[in-house]
Amino acid sequence: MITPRASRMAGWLSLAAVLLIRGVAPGETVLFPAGSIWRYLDNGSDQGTAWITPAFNDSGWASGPAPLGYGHAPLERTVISYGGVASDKYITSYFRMAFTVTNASSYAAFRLRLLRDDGIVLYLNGTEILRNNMPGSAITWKTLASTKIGNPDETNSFELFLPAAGLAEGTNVIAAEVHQITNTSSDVEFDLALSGLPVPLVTRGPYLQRSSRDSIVIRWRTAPATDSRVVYGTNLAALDFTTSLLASNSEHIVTLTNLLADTKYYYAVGTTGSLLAASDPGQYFFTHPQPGTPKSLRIWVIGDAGTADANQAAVRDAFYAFNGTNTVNAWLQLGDNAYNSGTDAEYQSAVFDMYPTLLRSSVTWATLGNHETAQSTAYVDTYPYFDIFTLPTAGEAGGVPSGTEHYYSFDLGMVHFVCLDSMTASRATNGAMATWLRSDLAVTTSRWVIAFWHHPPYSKGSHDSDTDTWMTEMRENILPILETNGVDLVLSGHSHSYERSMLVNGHYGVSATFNPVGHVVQSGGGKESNGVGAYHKPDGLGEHPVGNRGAVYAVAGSSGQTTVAPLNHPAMYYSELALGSVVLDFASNRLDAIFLRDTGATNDAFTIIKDGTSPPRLGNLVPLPNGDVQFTVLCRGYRTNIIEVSSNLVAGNTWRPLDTNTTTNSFFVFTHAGGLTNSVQFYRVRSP
Amino acid sequence: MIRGIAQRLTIVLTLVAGAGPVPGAGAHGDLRERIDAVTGQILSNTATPELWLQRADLNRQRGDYGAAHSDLDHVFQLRPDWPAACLQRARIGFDSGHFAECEQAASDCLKLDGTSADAFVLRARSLVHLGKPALAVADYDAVLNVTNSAAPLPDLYLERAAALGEMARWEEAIAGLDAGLKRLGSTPSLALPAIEYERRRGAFDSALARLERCRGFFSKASFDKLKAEILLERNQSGQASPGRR
Repeated sequence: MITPRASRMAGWLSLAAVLLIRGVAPGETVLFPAGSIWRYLDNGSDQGTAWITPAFNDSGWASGPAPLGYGHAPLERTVISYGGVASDKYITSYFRMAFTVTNASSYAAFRLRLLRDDGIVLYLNGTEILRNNMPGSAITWKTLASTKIGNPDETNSFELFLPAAGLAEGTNVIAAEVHQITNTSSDVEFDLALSGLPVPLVTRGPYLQRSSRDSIVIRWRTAPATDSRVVYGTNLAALDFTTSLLASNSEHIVTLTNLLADTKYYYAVGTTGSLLAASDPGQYFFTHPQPGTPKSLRIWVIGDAGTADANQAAVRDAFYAFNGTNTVNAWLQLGDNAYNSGTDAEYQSAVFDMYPTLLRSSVTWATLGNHETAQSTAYVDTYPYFDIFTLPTAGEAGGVPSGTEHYYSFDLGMVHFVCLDSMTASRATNGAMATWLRSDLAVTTSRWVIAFWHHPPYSKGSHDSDTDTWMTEMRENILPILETNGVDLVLSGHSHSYERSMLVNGHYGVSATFNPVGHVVQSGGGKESNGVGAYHKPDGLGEHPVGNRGAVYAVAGSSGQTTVAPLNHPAMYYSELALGSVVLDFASNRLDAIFLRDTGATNDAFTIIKDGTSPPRLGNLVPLPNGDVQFTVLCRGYRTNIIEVSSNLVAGNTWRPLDTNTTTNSFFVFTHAGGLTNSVQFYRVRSP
Repeated sequence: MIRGIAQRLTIVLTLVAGAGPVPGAGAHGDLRERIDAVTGQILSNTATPELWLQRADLNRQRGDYGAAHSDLDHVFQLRPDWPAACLQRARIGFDSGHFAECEQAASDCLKLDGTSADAFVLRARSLVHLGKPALAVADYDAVLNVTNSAAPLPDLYLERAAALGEMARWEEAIAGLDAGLKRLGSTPSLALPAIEYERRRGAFDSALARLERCRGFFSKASFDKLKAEILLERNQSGQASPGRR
C-alpha cells in the first residue's frame, strides 16, 4: 500500500517524538492551572443535572482556590463544609469553573492533573468527559464512590490524558462532582489542572519486538488512546509502506509482515491522521538474516540492570561508547530488568527511560527474573512483563512453538537463542518447558546455540547455586538437555556479579563435586592472546549441533548493582564484583565475548571457535600382505565416525560396524584385521 | 501480549503433578530484609491484616512455615473470612508437604471465592499427592474454565492429563491435551505427551498419525526411532488398534 510521503509531515510532527510524559510538552497550552479559583456548592443538596450546563447560574455559589476540601489541613486552601454532622456528612460536593480557549480546534488531547478523594465525575460544557472511582450506573447526589482513596493518593495529584473533544472557542465551563466513599469519611479533596496538546503524546517507545527474517512488532504507547499507524520503507526519504490498526488503543502493537530478510527498514509511528514519532536516521530495524546465514552479529547482554540509577546509566553509557554506530542486532535482558517489583512504572524508569535510543533500533529479548514477579513463583501470565513485551509463542521468529511467552526461542542468522523461565515455570524434567526444550533443540541446525535465563546454574555470587532451589533445579534438570544438544553459551543474572566458566560439560552437582578432570572440556581462559588459546568446539556444519563438547556459563548480573559475595565457583575461570555488561560478537565460526566494565575497560574476554568439520572420507586403501586392509579416515573437526563394512551395495544390504572412533581434527589410519577376502568388500564411514 | 481481563491466577507452585513440593529454600537472598521491613510496619500497624499476610507469605517463601502459620493466625483473628488468608494457608500447606491441610484451606478459600483459580490449582495438586486424581481432575477442569487468560499455561493441561492417566482414562487425557493444543497452538509440550498416551491406550495407529503431525518436533533419527518403536509395539500387540475402530 502506497501512502503519502512521511517526510512531508515530518516537520512539525517530529517534535512530538521526543516528548516525555513529565513536564510540559512542546506545543502544550495550559488551559487552567492547579490551584485555580473554583465556584463550589457544599450544602449537601441534590443539584440534579442542570448544574453541569454552561448556562447554569452559579453566581450564588461560594468560590475559593483549590485544593478544596477538608480533612488534610493545611493542604486545603479552601475548606468546604461537610454539614457539621460527622456521622452523616454530605456525600456530594459540586465545583464549577469557566475558562477561555482560543484555537480550540488545534488541540488533539487534554492532559489532566487531578486530585480527588474519593470519586469524581467531570463534565465539559455539559458533557461527561471523565468518571473516576465511581460506579458505571447513573449518578445521583447520594451515589457513593466505588473504593476508598487512602494515603498517599488522597493527597496526591495524578496525571491522565483524554481526547480533546467538546472544547468550544471562547468560554468553556468545566464542572465536577466529588463523591464520598461513606457518609462518615474523614476527608474530601479536589483540584484540577487542564492543558491542551496539539498531538497525542508518545509516552513510551517506539520499541521493537519479536523480529524475524520477514516480520517485526513495533510498539509504542500514547496518551490518550488513538488508532495506530506505522509507515516504513528501506529509504529514509520515502517510507512507502503502511500498516494501520483502526481500533483506538493507548498500547499500540503493530506487526509488520512480508518484509525482506536481512534488510534495513526505517519507520515512523503515529495515528492514521498524523505521525507522532516521525522517521529519523536513528529509528530503524534490521530484519533477521535467513537462518544459518553466517553474517556477523553483535549482541548486548545485561542482567539485573533495572536499578534506574547512575550505575545502570554508567553501564549503558560504557556500551554506547564502545559500540559507537555499529548495529546492535539484539539485546538480551536477563531478568530483574526493573526493580523492585517489575511494575509498569518501574519498567518505564529502568528500561524505557533508560534506553530510548537503543529501543528504537534494536530488538530486546527478555526473560523473567524474580523481581519481574515481585518474588512470586506463581506460574501465570498476568505480570506486567507480559503486557510490556511481545514474545514468541508459536515459533514466529524461528524455533519450535512453546505455546507460552514464559519460554521461547528464536533464530538470528546462524545463532539459535533459547530463553527459559527459571522463576515460575516447572523446571521438572517432565514439565512442559523441558519437553518443549528437547524438541526445540533437537531440530535446530544453527551453528551456535545460546541459552539465557535468570537463575544461574553455577554461582557463588549473591546467590549460591549449591543451596538455591531454582538454580539447583535448572542445573540438574535443564543443563543436561542443553548440553546434549550442543549449547555453546549460557547467560544468567540473579547474582550481582560477573562470573564466567571455562569450557565445561556434565557438571550437575553441587560445587564440591566439580571435577576438573571430568568436567572441564578445555581449561584456560579461552583467550587467543595467551594461555592455551581460544576454546574450540566442533561445528555442526548445517546439521544438528554436536552435543556435550562444552559450554561457557556466564553470570552477568552486575549491570545495575554489585553485591558482595564469596565468588570463585570452581567451574569459573573468572569472577569479579564489578558493574558491567557482556558483549557478544559472532563472526561465522567464532564467538568473541567480553565483559565490558562501566568504566569502559574490558576485564574479561574469551573466544569460542567452531572448527569446521566436513563429512569424513576414506582414502589410501591398501591390502596388506597379512590379509588386513588398511585405509585412512580423513576428517576435519571433532566428531564421532562409525566405520562399517558390507559385502554388497544392493538395497537392503547390511552394514556391519567395525569401529566407532572419535576423531581429532585431522585423520587417522584404520586397519581392518582380516579384511582381505576373496569377495568384494565395501567400506564406508559415517557420522551418527 | 496484552491480556485485558486476565484472571488473577496466582498459582504458587512450580511443579508438575507427581513431583514433590519446592523445598524451603528462599527465592531471593533479601527475604530477611523484606521480612524485617514488614515487621517494622506491623509494629506500628498491628491491626492491619494485609501486613500480617504479607509477612506470612515472606516467611513461607523463606521456608519458615512455623512463623508463617503464626502470622496467619493474626490474620484470621483480624479478618476471619478472608479468601486471601485461606489461600495463603493452602500455599503453606503445599510447600510444607501437608497436602491434606492444603486441600482443606483451598476448599475454605473456594467457599469464600468460588472463582479463585489459585485455590483450584492448589487443591488439584494436593489431591494428586493425596491419591485422589478424580477429584483433582475436576479442579483442573474448573481452573481451566475460570482462567480467562488468552493463553493458559501448558503445565495445567499436562497436569490434568497426568491425573487422568493415573486412572488410565487415556481418551480423556488425550482429549484434554487436544483442547490445550487447540487453545495454545501446536507445541511439543502437549503434542508429545499425547503420542505417549495413545501408545498407553494401545492406539498405535493414532499414535503414528500424531507422530507424523509432530515430525517438526524431532530430529530425523529420533523420529525414525520413535516410529520404529511404535510400529514394533503395534506389531507385537497383535490386536486391532483402538485408534482404528
